Amino acid sequence: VNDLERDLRELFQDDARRVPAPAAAPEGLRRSARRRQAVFGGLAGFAGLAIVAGVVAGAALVLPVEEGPAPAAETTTETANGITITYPSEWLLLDGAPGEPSELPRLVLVLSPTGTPEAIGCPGQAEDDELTLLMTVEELPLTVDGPAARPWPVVPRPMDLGTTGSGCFPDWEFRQARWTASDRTFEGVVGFAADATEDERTEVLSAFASMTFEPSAEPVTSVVLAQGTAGGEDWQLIATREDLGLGLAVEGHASGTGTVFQDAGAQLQTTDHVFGLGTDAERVIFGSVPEGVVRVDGVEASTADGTTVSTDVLDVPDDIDPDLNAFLLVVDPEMRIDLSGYDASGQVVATGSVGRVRAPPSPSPSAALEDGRHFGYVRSVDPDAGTIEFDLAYFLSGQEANDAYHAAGGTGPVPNDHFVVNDNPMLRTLTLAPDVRLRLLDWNRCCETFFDGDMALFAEAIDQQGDVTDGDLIYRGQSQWWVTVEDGVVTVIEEQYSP
Amino acid sequence: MSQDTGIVRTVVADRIDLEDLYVRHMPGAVRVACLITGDADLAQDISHDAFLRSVGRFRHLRQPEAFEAYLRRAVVNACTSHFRHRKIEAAYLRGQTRSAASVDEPDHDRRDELRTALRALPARQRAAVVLRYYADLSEQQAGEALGCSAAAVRSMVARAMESLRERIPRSEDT
Repeated sequence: VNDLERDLRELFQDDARRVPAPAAAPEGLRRSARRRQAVFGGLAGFAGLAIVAGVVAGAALVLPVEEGPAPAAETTTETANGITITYPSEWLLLDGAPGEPSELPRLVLVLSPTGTPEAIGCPGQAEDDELTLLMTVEELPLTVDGPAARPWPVVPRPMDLGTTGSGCFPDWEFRQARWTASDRTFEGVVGFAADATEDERTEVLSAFASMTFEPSAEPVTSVVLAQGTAGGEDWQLIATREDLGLGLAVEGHASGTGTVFQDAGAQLQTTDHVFGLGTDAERVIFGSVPEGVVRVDGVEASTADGTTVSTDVLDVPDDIDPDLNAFLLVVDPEMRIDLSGYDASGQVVATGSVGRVRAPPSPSPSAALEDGRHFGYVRSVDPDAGTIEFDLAYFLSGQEANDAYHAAGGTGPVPNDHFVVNDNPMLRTLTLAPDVRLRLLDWNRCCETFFDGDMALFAEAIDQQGDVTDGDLIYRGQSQWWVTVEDGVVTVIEEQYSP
Repeated sequence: MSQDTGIVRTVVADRIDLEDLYVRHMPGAVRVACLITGDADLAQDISHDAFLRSVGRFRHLRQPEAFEAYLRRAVVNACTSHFRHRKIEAAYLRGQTRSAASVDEPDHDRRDELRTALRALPARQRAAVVLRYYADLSEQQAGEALGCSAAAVRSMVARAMESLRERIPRSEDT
């Protein structure tokens, strides 16, 4: 602890004590919270409720339901949030809420027999209403794999929600289904109070089965590309459109990870996450591949006859990223993997690695660098000649970093989960491509944001082995770098983040 | 996958839970928001809105500890988003916020300098410092609140401390 840190802590504590923080829930919370319960995606404030008006007799069932034929009740047909549904005329339909965030998931439709909106939020606590049925439809991120990708129509299946002791839904029974229709994914739940009649159950299931779906008016911004189980934990691979590129995240129940990928030419870009503990642990490797790669193989690199795992590439919708697709492999957490991306003709068109660098340190490295992405230090820059002097090194992470760290005399886990090996002082003169791209970290928005740097300022920083600033932008002469060599020339120089 | 449905969320989001959650988590949320924004009224608004948004995410009410983290992230997001508006930030830097007085009462020179230096930090750096040195979160937890990695938090805090030291030259590490 230093003076500044101690001063900050004391300042924060003193200032926080003077903040007039609420000590009790405000009077309006009960109403507000209930309202928000109903809103969730939006029930639009209760002034805007869509009260059913029209009459359509004898709605036909789209699906067979277990409770028998639909009763001959008067029905009406309404459309809410692109969902058209037919239901008994006297029931209440609540649709979306203008002004609510469009972020998914969101509740897009609630259907119930007569009842007040507050009763729908928590029927067990409603004083003047005896709600016996409820149906909700929630829109989820578009899902292209797994059960939720099942096409409509689907039949809701019983689910155990453990609601027996709930104050809101005492002894209710629920059924649930997930499906995808018109490039939209939904989850529907129907609930029955213990005293709901068979006719009522049939009516709500008939309404459920009557739904038809229109495409969303908004472009797709997130997609569940795949789902599965690793280390005993269910996961989803979710792709999202981000300002900086393609966001990929693996999300489990208790943990997950993700990052944003940008187009990196022939590079397979990866990240990984370990689910489970001990012998149950499994590592999920995922990342981006350039358009044209249809299959990714991962070869266990620590033995000559290493295990090979293979996967087909997952198509990322163009609305999310037109240039990149995704892949995912589940491997042993101790495996170090070399990755190869194949095009449709079976040619390797992209490479990458996880847990180790592709090429091991060589006792007599050649002066040239083979095509690929290499880590090291830039020792000098000659903008006029279009060359750099490059000191090749090896950026290790994971177990390999720990091993190298311990071999170098370190104890305990390697700091910051990486270790650089640079045993050979040899400098290589590399030719820069005429349009070489210089990607520098924006340290003001550290550490996944890059800007395209100016070669002259870069040369100045390298020459000084210090920082050169351009406004808020910082060129760090003592940083570490990845160079991408294509056809023998350097096409990209990218700064490596180092704490 | 869990059967985490809207109705389930409603089940757990009864009014007793909500009041309890409010009492337990709102004071801390308001304090964090106030330390990041420097504006007590704004902090109240942001925290209240974040609370209601978090309540709307019923799934997080199933585990109180998850709710706290979710609320914290919502508050931090709202605070940092607030400062993306350059005009507002400029006004803030000029000391023209709505009611900074509640936390900006003159203390002594050193503290005034520190507050001024904190205000000059980028919003995310300021949030990272508050989360680490006020909320006592680990880098991992702060990263979850800020939506970035633990390493990024470490870097942001390091840069913030570097900036603060530059602005307060009398500060000397022990």
